[in-house]
Amino acid sequence: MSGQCRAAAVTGLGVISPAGVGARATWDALLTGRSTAARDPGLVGLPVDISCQVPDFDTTRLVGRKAAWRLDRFVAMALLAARHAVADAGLDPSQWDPARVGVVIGTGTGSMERYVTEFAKLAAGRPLDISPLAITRSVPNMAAAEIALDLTATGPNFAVSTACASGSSALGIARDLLRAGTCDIVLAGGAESARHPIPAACFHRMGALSCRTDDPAGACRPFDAARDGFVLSEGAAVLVLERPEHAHARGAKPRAQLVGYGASCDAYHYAAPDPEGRGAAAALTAALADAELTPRDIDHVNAHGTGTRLNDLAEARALHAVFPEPPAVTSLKGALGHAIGAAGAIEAAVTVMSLQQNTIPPTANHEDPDLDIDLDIVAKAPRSTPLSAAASTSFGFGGQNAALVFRSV
Amino acid sequence: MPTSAELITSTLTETFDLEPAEVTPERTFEDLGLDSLALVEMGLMLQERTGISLDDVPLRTTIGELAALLDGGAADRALTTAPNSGS
Repeated sequence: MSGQCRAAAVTGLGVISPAGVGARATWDALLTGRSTAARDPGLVGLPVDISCQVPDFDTTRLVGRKAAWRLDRFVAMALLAARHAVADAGLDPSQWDPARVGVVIGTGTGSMERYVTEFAKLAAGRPLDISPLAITRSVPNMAAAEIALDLTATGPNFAVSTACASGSSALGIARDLLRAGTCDIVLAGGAESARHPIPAACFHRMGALSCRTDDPAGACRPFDAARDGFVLSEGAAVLVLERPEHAHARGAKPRAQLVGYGASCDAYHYAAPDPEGRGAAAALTAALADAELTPRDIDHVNAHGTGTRLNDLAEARALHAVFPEPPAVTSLKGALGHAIGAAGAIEAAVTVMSLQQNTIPPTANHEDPDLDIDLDIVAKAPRSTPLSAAASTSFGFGGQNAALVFRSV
Repeated sequence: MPTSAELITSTLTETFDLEPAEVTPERTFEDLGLDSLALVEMGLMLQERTGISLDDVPLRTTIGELAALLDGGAADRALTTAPNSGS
């Protein structure tokens, strides 16, 4: 099978991020190099009370009352991102063969808020007040299921949960469904709204969050010498992936091609990454081989780049291991925070836009390079440069790693 | 102070995208397109507003019947058919 046939065409993007509702809003905001982090009223009283919040996300207004009443926030974000992506692709769900359309959506936690809300009723001795929709609103597979219900997609439908790699893993699995000939179209991505006191307190106790609460916008500093962790975030991104022949037959112009996917597990520690980045390097190497590209073909890496000491060092070592001369690197987490299961999908969408625009958005808050990192970090301002191939990396607790390779068209 | 019928109507129109003109006293919840789970959810919303427990309202109940039961404050004792769900 030729490289061309093994690819998936990216024909549509939908992005909901703390930088705004819509792929264009997210892209434009990223180019400013500013962070979206701010004090979060929902986290008052916690040691870390800052987050990156999707602005003005009124579920009823954005997805309509008919759907909104039973959708928890991460599901509503996924649904809106999917609608945006399908519209961007120029697809009309009433015209597609629903059995040939699949949905794969990654999420790390589902709706933790729902469980807490309903458990409070139980703790108060009111079990009969628990909503009969507590499960269907909150379980991780419901984002994919609600998208299928809304858009009528009766093909394979999956949730993927590989922690912070979930969104990237979903895109890779979706690509495999297309390559296997199972589907013509797959709506794939990630969604998460874990901006909640439980994960916020937990991540803080793990030492993963930035404690720079007096300077929220300067808190997450990927690959910077003064980094001290990430900022909790939320959002969703869905990409329309299509068999290239299917896209061509309907006259769609792809934004880019997804040409490579690699996955691995560190099998090193339940939370910490392999300090040498061996698992990360293995995923990236596998993605390059899958793409039939060499390290020198890659012009840019949209890094996982959480701004935690362990992740940044491990990722830097992985990039040095894979690339004789690592290409230009950026991390969106300085600007958007860490949207856990949605992060990889948002970053994949931005990687596609980078290829289209031949522009790499800057890493917000990268001021003082860490000499141990020794990477070409794009900082301060966007970098305009010819881009023909780019990788996006994602790594999750549990040592689960995913890497994607995109090519321009 | 809204009447029970007004409370039911506002809950249905605000939550389930129904037009006020659709919500007439003789119509059942089934007529209005609610399923058993949605009906329980609506009952919980009404319970928050009225303090009256609305467990196990049958789908064939009319708006008027439920309003009368709310007015009597005895919906939880009068309606006993359990809702059904798929899986």
